[in-house]
Amino acid sequence: MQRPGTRRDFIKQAGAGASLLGMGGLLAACGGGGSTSTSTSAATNAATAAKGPIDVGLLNSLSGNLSIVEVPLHNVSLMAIDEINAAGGVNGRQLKAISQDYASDFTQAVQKSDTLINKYDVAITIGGYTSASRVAVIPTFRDNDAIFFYGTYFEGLECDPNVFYSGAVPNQFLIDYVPWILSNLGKTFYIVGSDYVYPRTVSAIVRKLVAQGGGKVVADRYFPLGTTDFGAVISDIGTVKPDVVFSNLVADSVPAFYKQYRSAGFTAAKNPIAATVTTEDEVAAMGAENGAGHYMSATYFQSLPNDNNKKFVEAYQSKYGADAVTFMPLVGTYNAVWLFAKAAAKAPDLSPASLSKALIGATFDENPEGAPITIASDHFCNHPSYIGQANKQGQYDIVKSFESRPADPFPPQVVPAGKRPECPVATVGK
Amino acid sequence: MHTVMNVLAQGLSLGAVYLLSALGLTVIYGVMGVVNLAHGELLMIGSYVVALTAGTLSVPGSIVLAFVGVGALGVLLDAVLIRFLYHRPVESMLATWGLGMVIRQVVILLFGTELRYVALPIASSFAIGFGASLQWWRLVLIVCGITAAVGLGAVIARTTFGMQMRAVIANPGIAESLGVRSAHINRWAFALGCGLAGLAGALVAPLRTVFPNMGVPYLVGAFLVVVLAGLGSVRAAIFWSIAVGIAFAAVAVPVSDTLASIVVWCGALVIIAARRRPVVVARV
Amino acid sequence: MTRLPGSARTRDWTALGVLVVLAILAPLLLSQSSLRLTALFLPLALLAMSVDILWGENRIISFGHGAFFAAGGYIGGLILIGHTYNPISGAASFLEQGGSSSGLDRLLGHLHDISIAGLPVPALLVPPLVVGAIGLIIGMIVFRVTDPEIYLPLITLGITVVAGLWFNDVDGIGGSNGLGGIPSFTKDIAGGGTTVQYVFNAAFVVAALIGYAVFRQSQRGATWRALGDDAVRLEALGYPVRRIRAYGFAVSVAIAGLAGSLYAATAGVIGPGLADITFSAQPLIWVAVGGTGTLLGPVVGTLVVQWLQQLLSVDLGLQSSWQLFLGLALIFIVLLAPGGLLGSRREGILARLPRRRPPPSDGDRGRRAPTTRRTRRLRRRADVTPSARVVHAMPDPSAHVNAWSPHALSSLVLMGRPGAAAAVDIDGRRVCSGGRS
Repeated sequence: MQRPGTRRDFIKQAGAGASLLGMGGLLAACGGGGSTSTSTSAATNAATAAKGPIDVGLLNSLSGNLSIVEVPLHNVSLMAIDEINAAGGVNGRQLKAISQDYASDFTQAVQKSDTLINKYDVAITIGGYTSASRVAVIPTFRDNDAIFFYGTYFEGLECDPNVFYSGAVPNQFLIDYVPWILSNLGKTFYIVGSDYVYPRTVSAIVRKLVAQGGGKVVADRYFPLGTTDFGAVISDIGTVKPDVVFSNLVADSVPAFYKQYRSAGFTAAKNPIAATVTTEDEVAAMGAENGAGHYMSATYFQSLPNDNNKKFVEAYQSKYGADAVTFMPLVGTYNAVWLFAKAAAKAPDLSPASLSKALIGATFDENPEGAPITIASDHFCNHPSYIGQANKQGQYDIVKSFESRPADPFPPQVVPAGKRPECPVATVGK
Repeated sequence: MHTVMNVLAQGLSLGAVYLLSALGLTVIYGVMGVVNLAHGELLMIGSYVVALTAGTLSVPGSIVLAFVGVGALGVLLDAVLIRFLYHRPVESMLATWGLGMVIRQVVILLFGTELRYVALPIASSFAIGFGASLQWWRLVLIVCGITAAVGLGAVIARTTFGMQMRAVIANPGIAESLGVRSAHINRWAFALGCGLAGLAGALVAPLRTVFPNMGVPYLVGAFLVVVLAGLGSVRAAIFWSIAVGIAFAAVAVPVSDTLASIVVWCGALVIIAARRRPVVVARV
Repeated sequence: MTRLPGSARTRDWTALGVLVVLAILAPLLLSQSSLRLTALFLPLALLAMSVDILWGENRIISFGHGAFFAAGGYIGGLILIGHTYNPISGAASFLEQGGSSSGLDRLLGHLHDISIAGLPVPALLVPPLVVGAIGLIIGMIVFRVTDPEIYLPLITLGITVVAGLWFNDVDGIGGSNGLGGIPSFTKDIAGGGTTVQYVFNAAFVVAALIGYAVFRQSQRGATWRALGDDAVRLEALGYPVRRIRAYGFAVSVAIAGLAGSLYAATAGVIGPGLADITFSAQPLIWVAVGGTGTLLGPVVGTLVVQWLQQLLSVDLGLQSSWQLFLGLALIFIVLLAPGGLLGSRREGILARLPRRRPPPSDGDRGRRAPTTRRTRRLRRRADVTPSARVVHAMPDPSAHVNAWSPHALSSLVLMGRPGAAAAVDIDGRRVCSGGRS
């Protein structure tokens, strides 16, 4: 049985290239995933097989320390492909998954994406997970003039003619979040984050938003990945006495921080933590008593009440186990497969040039996030956002919902007007 | 003054963790010349014992169980592996690194990779003057750390077992001829070192995070202390643990943890380089 | 006896010859994707070799080679890209530095533009030189420590920790995302395909092996090995032990730096995760599996372990559990097969357990120094039977007259260091003598 779930996104960079041997890391305790497996839907319809299936490359770590997150991503891709095939495929053609396992090793990600492009000649490659994996493979897609679809939310500050992004970028869950914090929780912010690109980007945006909203950031601290003792910074928080602690801590740092924060005498009522990456998994590990009352902003929570999400969660859990957790990158990847299918249906052919034209404007209405998702001309998608407050059961109650918002990969808070690149900077298919 | 108090409080608490993790390492090296790179994994097992049994045994009970249980595991490990590695530091590093990999994977297979939940028994803090405060559990860590170190020192200096241990270290041949069973002493000394690792893991579990890969940072911290203190010396380990903890806190409280790590490690390298015949390998 | 015994020399060259033949056959036998992976593993094999120079030959374990490897990869990668890499590395620095051209950028640009016959030579030369220089400085400092066998692992561990934090934070090298899109060395050579890349990397490994083989058979090689046997004695004999070790360390990390640059260019990416204790420990595993102190052991060990990982973890779907087997294999090797795959059939530790009661001492032979594995092996190679143990005229600082080391002895005798007048008698016959008195 699958135990997907822990959205331990960010252990990632910790593992970076180190995972040549998987590091004995956080491997998923799940059985799935031989590598170069291929799977076609059982629903293959002989009558429509005239033109043969459409190959879709899935580039995920099915082994190594990233597999804990990427096996679920791979699973949800297969589920989406099955759904599409069951619904008749793309103009009668079935989708066929070509999986490549890059084993949590970005150097292999480069090679495996090359294999997908040149050996299997896939129409599109969906996958990747950490920013490091994306940065590693993009040049390959650019050189081969192929298309890569990335489903995880990330720091932005990038756009590429060969890459489409169905995950959120920081502006989409920060622009509404920070003003809400300022008017509901307090004016002085103490920012803590794990030390890597994503938290640093989020914090740069938050600093500007706080200043614009008349608040004040009193400190901005980073911790090496894997830090589990926060005594020093918590005693400093006690000295500075901010209204809100804004946390971009990830993975194993999260439970330690929340536990030590509460035991140092801070309460959610008086000194709430507003987080961007404290998921239900980490709340479970810290104990609901330590998480209760604190906040988190995201474009997706498993508890979202909309019908699309109920259907999505039900389908996923019936396939991968009743305790399987759905989380942001999972939904992003699911959307990526569907958006590709929508685009492929209206593209005249599946050459990268035609496909990339068709992808722009492709819309998927059954987005579990609760609002139709559309690819904009900059290759990014719109997303709604939600603020959740952890309850005593370790789940998030939705306390505020915001309208869907277009992505801004180069938000003015961090990128000066003169330096904003036009996205995408070129077109695919010369 | 407020900051100074915070630095002292946090420094002592960090130092206590360094000390607890380093004690076992240093005993094992001191007595049998084994550099145990699986120490972080033994500590992790201690944390898992607490994570899995605290519900039924209460936290203090599970901490005792961690000490005894990991010590017992030590007896087993000594019988099947460690006794072949006595006084072979290089081979022991390699074999125990392999042992660490095995332990990690076994724990993953048995309990999965999730972060484990351990409740903090006393989730509050007390004032220590000048507006600074200390969490109760950190005080527990400090008290346990110092008690363990002093207790270990007393065992070595005052008990028959300690005397036999010293005899075996000094001259195994003569010790044996006088009736001391050195194999026996080595085995119990290794068990003691493992038990100390289990104790360290058990004590940090409520405050920090428990998961299969947690061990390596503790091993690295313990190494830092033994590099400075000299492998095998309990008294020096106490001094340097606290020194490192306070140095770390002195940078981490006002500035940042990353810088603190860099400062502490660079400082350690400078200190080592500055001591020309530096590290006397004292044996316990 | 200065040199490796003739049989070992022959064996080195024979093994090397076999390897070269296999290397030439590989492109014909392997599929493109397997060849690509092999090309990626070759720089790792070079890294393993650099570790073995310290460990196999000098019994010094380094946990810091990952950091030097990564440093080489970063330097090589920056030169191949031709500029620093900021846009993705953190918004904070994007603000201040996005697109600006610093002095470092100009330097990288110049280095990037130099190429000889399509080969970006600076990316091959600068990384080992810079990393080697850093290694020399570190070596001069750390080898002041007595007992480097025990303390060097701990010190290099510290270097790894600091380097990992630094690579993650320093501007211009992509932060936690690392550097991506590093062009390969061979992109302008003969089409730059997989085979070319493989041949290029293989050529480096073979060249390094030949260099290593020559070194092993030279007088310097003998001195270097002697140092691993008995540094105290060599020091007493007037050898600048600390300096020799520092040079050796510098050469070793320079090779690691070169390997890093090759790796970055082959993989196309380099990241801070390489400066990580878990990665830094990998080369030790590769070397142990292949066989320490054997010429080809590190290379063979690396390829075997990496391919096993590929087969077990990826292709058979064992995922990380395969590390369970690797860990057990490591223990097995230490206990039962210390020679690894390629080492001579040496007895494992289990076969050499001290007996429960020490054997009765025969006469006044005194305490013998521990016989190292190397000593035993070389004794055998030197065809000296253990009974021919009496050595005269050997200045012996530790006063163990019967404790002897063929390396220390041989280099002493034949290199003629000042104060190193010596003669070797075996069974009453003068075997050799040398040096100045």
